Amino acid sequence: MKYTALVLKNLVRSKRRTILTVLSIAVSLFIFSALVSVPTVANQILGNTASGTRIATHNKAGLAYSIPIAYKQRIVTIPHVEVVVPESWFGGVYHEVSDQFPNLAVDPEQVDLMWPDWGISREQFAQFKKIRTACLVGGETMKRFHLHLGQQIQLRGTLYPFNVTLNIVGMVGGKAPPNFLIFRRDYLEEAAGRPGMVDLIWVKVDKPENVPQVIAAIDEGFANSSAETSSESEAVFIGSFMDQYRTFFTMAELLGLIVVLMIATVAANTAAMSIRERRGEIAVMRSIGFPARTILSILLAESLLIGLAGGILGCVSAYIVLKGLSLGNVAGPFSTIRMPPAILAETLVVAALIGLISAIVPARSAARRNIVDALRTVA
Amino acid sequence: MAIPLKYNVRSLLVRRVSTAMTAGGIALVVAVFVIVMALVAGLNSAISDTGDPDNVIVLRKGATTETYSAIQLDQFDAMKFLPQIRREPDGEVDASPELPVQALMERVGGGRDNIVVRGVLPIALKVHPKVKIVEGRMFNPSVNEVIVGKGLVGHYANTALGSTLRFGRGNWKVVGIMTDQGGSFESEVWGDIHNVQDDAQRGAYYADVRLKLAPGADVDALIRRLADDPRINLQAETEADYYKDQAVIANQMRVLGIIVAVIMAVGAIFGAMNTMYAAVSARTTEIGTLRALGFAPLAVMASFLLESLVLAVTAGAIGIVLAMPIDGLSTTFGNFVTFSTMAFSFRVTFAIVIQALIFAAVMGVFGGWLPARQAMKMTIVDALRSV
Repeated sequence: MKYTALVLKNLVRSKRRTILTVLSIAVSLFIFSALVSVPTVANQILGNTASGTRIATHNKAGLAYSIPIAYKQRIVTIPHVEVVVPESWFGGVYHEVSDQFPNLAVDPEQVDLMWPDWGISREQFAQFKKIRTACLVGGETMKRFHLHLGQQIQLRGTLYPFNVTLNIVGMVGGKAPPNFLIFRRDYLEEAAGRPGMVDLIWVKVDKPENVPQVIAAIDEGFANSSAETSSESEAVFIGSFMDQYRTFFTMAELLGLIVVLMIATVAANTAAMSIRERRGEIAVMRSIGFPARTILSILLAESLLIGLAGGILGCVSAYIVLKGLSLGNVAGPFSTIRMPPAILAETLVVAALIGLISAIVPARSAARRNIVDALRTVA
Repeated sequence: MAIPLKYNVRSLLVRRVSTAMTAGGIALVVAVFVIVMALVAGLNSAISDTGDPDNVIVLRKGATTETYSAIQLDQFDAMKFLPQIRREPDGEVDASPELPVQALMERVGGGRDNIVVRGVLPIALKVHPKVKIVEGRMFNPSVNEVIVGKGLVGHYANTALGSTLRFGRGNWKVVGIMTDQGGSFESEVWGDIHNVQDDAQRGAYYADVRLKLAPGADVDALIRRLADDPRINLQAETEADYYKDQAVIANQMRVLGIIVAVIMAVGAIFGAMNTMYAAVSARTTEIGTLRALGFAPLAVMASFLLESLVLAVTAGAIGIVLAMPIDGLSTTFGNFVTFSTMAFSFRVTFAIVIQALIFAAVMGVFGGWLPARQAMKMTIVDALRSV
């Protein structure tokens, strides 16, 4: 550590070069850390919302096919099943076509038992169960449309040929998707005049280990009926949604990799330039007794510092930008990407590696070079 | 007088490793640009190129996509007799009622995706002239037969000609393979509209109707009539407008791609600046000599700028070559707008190649500008003295 001063001195020797290198590493790692955060969205959503005891039952043919509400009565009787909540997708828009966000209708009776992790207060649940036109809205949607509690809003039907008028009785938070809106299915059904069919039935079982057993019991029970079902644990259900975007994820990862390659090339070039210019003085240091190892460590420490400075600058700014950024509806599930702490750490490791690897070749050759040769070229 | 280009090329070759590394950085940035733009071009052609200039799509009022639309049979019957719609020589009206439904299909290699199954009548092939059956034949409405878009073949199980495809509630025999000149119908399965209605247990209604405009007919008059006629009361727009709106996803990808490429370019420019500054300071004596020989300061600056430009454009060309294997690669993409998966191919178009070269040139100019200015501002005496 006694060489710290020397390392710092070397860094400020060519300020312009150091700054340019740090900045180029910073912008590249900014984009790298943002890109590799994209595929983690899937895991975040899973980790945030998926519960180990919830099952989604839908028509085997796909979500566009509905299932009879009568299935609810049969599912309730299956052992280990505690709560059953049917759900239908409304798909309404607030004002404009571009105002889309997930809005669904659910049976109100057991909502609190099904989603205790949604951070809804007892009073708000009571209101939801009491008022037929009640709705509960996620924080992000509240913010996006400047809504407030107690407000009456109208959602324009797209899938259904009518509008619904709803009263906001509470906010959903906790582990609920932040852009959700739920209202009551009895209200939707009355307006639609198409009773008896739902898109999805949520089932909650007593213990996670009973999930596979209940899934099998549900699907076997409805096999060979007019609407065969396919049930999945909540994690698998959400995962299959995210799976559609795998091309997007692969792209983001591929681009992230290219960014790292690119910045490694640029950094290696700079390191080579700055070490080449110092060959003479390195030879002088060797000749007055500095061992090659020490010189190598000094050079690597310098490059490591440059890499880390760029890395910190890059991933911290990416973290802040992602936090403040909302891409809106068009980006689908990617409207809000947050950088998980693991990516911060990963980026810093990449930064350190870029610093070390970029300098290792020129630094080794400079440190090991024959002193006489090196001194002779000083001229 | 200008300094010969040969001087720059040779200078670049002298510091081979450094040149190669700088070029490598720029090449990778250009490769990223090309890959993203090829994705966008592929998506765009898969969505926006689907429409036909003479077609009008009719939806329920307020519906944003055909997925969220419903049209009653009497509404369809009322619109069939409008004079603006083209008629076949045998008197058949070029009006194609359609019912797209998302059905889960097995992906080759595991997993399931939502694929659009479009219920149509045989008239659909006349209303969508770009759709061609390239293998096999059209489906027979009386049995469960379907034709499959070429984009799905190979990506999804049992989509080959002659196989039995399972989706919805039934088994469907694949009797034909269709193409749509790259449009989104290539990612769909088409079957008889009544079979699809039955299978999805939808009532006897359609989702949307595609109308082919009669030659010389006024499209605005047709759209107004469809909206105002109390028996019809539907919203219509040209297919071109409709698919332009559906392409938001491609536009979004384009914006994201450009942001990524520009930020990477900034990183590469800093790298190029480092290299060019090093080049200028290593060649101080040479610059002094050039000036002493009578080359104007501006010629020196132009020369260094040119050197940076040559480096960047060469690197850009390398980047394009690096990204080229992605051209034609076909893959599937989840569309956030329609909640269904579509197949498309990456397309490296000529325009993308030109844009990529311009992009590289811009990086060269930005990276070379300041160092070249520094070279220009050196005084002869100082430069020569540094020997």
